[in-house]
Amino acid sequence: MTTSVKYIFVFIGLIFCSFPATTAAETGSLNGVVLDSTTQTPLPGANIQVQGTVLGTSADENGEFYLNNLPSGKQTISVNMIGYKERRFSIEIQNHRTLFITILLQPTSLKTPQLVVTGAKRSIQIKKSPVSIGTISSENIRMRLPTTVEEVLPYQSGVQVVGGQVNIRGSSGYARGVGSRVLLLVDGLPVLASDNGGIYWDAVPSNNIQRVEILKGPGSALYGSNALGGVINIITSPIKAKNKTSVLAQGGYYTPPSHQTWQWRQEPLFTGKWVLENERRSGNWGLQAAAGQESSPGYFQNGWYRRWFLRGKMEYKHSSAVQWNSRLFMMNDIHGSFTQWRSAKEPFNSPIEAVGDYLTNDKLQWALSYSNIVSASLSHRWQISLFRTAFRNHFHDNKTYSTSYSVTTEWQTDYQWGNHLSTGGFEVSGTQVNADIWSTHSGYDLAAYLQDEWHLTLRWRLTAGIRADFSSIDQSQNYAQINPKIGTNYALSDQLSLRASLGRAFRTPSIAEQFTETQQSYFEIKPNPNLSPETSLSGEIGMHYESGNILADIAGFLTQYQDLIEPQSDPSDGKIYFQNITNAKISGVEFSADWKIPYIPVKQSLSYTYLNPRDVSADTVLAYRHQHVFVFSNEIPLSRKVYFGIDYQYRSKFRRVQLFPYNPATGADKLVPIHLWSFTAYYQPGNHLTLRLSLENAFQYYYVMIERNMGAPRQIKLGVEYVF
Amino acid sequence: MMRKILLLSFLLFTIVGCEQGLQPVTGFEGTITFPTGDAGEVQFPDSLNGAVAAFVKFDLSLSAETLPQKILGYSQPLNLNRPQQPYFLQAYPDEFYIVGVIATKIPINQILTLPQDSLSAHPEYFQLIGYYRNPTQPDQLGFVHFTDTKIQEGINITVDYNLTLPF
Repeated sequence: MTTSVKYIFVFIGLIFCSFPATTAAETGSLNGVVLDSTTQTPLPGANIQVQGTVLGTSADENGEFYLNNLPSGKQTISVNMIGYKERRFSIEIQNHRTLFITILLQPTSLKTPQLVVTGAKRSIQIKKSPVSIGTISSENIRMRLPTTVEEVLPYQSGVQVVGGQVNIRGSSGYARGVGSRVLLLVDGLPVLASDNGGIYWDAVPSNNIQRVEILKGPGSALYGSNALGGVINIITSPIKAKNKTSVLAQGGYYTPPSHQTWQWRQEPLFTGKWVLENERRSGNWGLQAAAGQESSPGYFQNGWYRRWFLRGKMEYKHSSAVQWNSRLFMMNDIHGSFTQWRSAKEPFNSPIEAVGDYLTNDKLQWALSYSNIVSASLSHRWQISLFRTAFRNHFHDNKTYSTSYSVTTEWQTDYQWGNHLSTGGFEVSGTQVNADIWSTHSGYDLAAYLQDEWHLTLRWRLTAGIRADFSSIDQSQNYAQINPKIGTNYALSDQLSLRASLGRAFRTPSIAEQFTETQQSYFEIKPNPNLSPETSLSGEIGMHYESGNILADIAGFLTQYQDLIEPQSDPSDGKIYFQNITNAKISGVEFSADWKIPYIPVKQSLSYTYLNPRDVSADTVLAYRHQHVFVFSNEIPLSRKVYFGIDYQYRSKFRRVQLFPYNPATGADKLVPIHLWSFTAYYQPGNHLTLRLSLENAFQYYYVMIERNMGAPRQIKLGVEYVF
Repeated sequence: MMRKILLLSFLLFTIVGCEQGLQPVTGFEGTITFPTGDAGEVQFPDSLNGAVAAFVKFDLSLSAETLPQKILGYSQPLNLNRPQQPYFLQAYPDEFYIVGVIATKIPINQILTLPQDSLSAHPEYFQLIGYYRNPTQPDQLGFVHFTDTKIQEGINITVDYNLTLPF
C-alpha cells in the first residue's frame, strides 16, 4: 500500500473516531399523516425529512409517519412525493412531547422522482445536487414491459446501451460486456460480476423497481472502481403495508423479417413471461416473495433464452430508528449464443457451425443491511452482500466455465455538525474466481471514504469528498488509488439551481481483461496480466429548473481518460488482447426537459445528447459512441383509465467501429442512423386489473449497432397484471 | 389543440417512419470444394493457416503482386473440416469481378483484424488456391457479372493447391 493511501486511511479513521457515539439533547417526537390536498387520500411512500439533521422517514400505507429524537425547538420539515409539489414548513418541537400534524401535498402534472440517494449515499433533492442525476420512474419502466432494465435506460439523456453494455456520457465502447465503466448497484450494493467485471441485466428484477437513479459522471470518490463513467442504482420497491398478491402474465410476438431472403424460421416468434408475487406485513416484519419464468425464441437464430427466478425481501423494524433489511435473488438462465451473423445475406442466421451453441448462467445475490438513526445528528448503516455468478459455455469450439464469488461489506456514518453534513465509511470486498477460461484468481479491495456537504448559506452548498482504495489480485498485482471530488450547488431561486463539479475516477482491470485465454469462433484472445487501472478526470457545469409543469436540466461536461483499456489485435499473431492504449477526451452537452401542455392533459419529454468522443492517442474518434441522441416522448391520457404513449428515438450512426468497418468498395458492413418508434397503451378497468400494450420498433426499422448483429425488429407485447 | 398535436405527431412519424434502414444486399454466392483424402477429410497443407473467399474487380493490370492490394472483400474464414461449404460475398452490381479462394500463411484471424493497407503490403502472405472458372471453358478465368439487385448464385470454386495464376 502506498504511503499516501495509508495516510488517507488513517485520516478518515481519525475523522470517524471524532464522531460522537451519541448526543445528549432535549428531544421530542413528530407524528403525522400526509394527504393529497385535492382528494384527501393518504400518500403512502411520501418522504419526510428534518432539515439540518440526518432524520427522515417514509409515510406508511395509511400516509402516517412517526419521527422521534427531534431536537427541541424550531425545526424545518420538508415533504416530497413523486407527482406532488414539495412542501417545506417550520414546526416547534417541545421536550418529551409529541406533535401531531397533517400535511397536505398539492399534485403536480409531472411524475419524475426528485429525491435521490445515489449522488451522496443519502437522500438529496436533484435540484440541490452538485452532480447530474437522472431518474426513471416505476411507471415509466412498467409501461414499456421490458424484459430487462437496460431496455429503458436509453430514454435517459447521456445514457447509451450498446450490445447490452451501458455507457454514460460515452464512457464505454463495446467489449462484449467485459469491464463495465458504469457501476451497477441494486439498493446501493454492487452487482457487477467479479470475473468479467460486466453487468448481467437479467440479474436485476425488472418488475419490482421503485425507480432507477443514474449518476452521470465519475462516482469513484464514493463508490470506488468501475464508477469511472457513472453509477446506475436500481431502487427496489418497498414492502407495502397491506397484504397483496399479484400475478403478471406477459406475452410478446416478434414480427418476421419483411424481406423473404431474411426469413430464418417458419414458426411464429412468441415470447412469454409470468411472475407471481406476494407481500405481507405482520407487526414489525415485512416479507415480499416472488417467483417467475420467462422465455423467448429470440428474433435471430440462437437468440433464444429460458430463465426462472426467485426473489425475496425481508424487513424488520426494531424501532422507528433501527431497521434491518434483507434481499435475495436467484436466477437460472440458459440461452443461445450469437456472435455475429452468418452473412449479410442471412443477417438473422447464426454461422452454420455455431447453430446449437448455448450457455448456462446462474446468479445468486444476497444482501443484508442495518440502519440506525442514533440521534438527530448521527446515523449509521451497515450492509453486506454476496454475489455469485456461474456460467458454462457449450459452444461447438469452446467449452469453458467460470464461477465467481464476491462479498462486499460496508459501514457508513452520516454526521450533522453545524452547517456541515458529513458522510464517511469503510468498505471491504473479496473475490474468488474459479475458471478455466481465465484460471483461478482471488483478490480483495479495502476502501475508506469521506464526504462533507457544507451549507455555506441557505442557497449555496459546497461538497468535497475523497476515497482511498487499495486493491490486490493474487497478492501480486496491487493497485492504490486516491479519488477526490469537489462540487457546488447554488439555488438562484426555488425553481432554478446551478451546479458544478470536478472529480477523479478509476477502474481496476477485471480478471477477464487480464487473464482470458480462449478462442471463440475464429477470434483468439490472449491474456495480458500487466494491465494498469484506467483513470479519468471529469468536470461538469449544469443548470436545473423545476416547477409544477416544467422540469428541465442542461449540463456540459468534459472528461479526460488516461490508460483506457481497450481490446486490440496483436499484429504479430492476430490474437486479441486487452491493453492500456488510449488517452481519450470526451466532451459533450446533454439536455432534458419534461413539460405538460397547458389546457390539455398531454405530457411530453425531450432529451438530447451531443458527444465528441476523441481518442487522443490515435487522433481519431472513439468507437461505438453515438454523436447525437435525441429522444421525444408523449404521454396522452385519454381518460382516467386509458393512457396512450408515443416515443421516438434517434441515434446517429457510429463514426467508428472496431472489427468490421464499412467497406465502401462493396457496401459491406454499412451502418445507418437509428430511428425507432414505439407505442405504449395502458388500460385499468378496475382496482385489480391492469392491461398494458407495447409496440416497439413500430415501423420495422432495420439497423446494426454492433457489427454483424441486427437490431431487434418490431415486437408487440401484452401484459396483464391482476392484484388482489 | 389536441387534434392539432395528434395530427402533427402523426405527420412526423409518418415522415420519419418512411425510413426503412438496412435493406437486403446484393452480391454472389456459391460452393467451395476442397480436395479430400481417402476418408473424406479435407486435405489442407500444413504450411498454410486458413482460407477465405475473396474477390477483385477485373483489371488488365492484375498480377500476383498486385492482387492483394486490389482485394475488395473477404468472406468469413472457411471451415477446413468441411469438404464443401457455401460462401457469400457482398458486392455492387454492374461490375466484372474475379472470385478466388486465398490461403493465408499468417493466422487467418489477421485477415479480419489487420488493416487492409498492412495486408496488401505483404503479397507473400497469400496464396491463390482456387478461382471461379468460365462454366463453358473451365480452363479459363470466369467473370462474375450481374446487373439486377438479386444475389448471383452458382459461383462455385474448386480448390487446387498447385494452381497457376490465370494472369
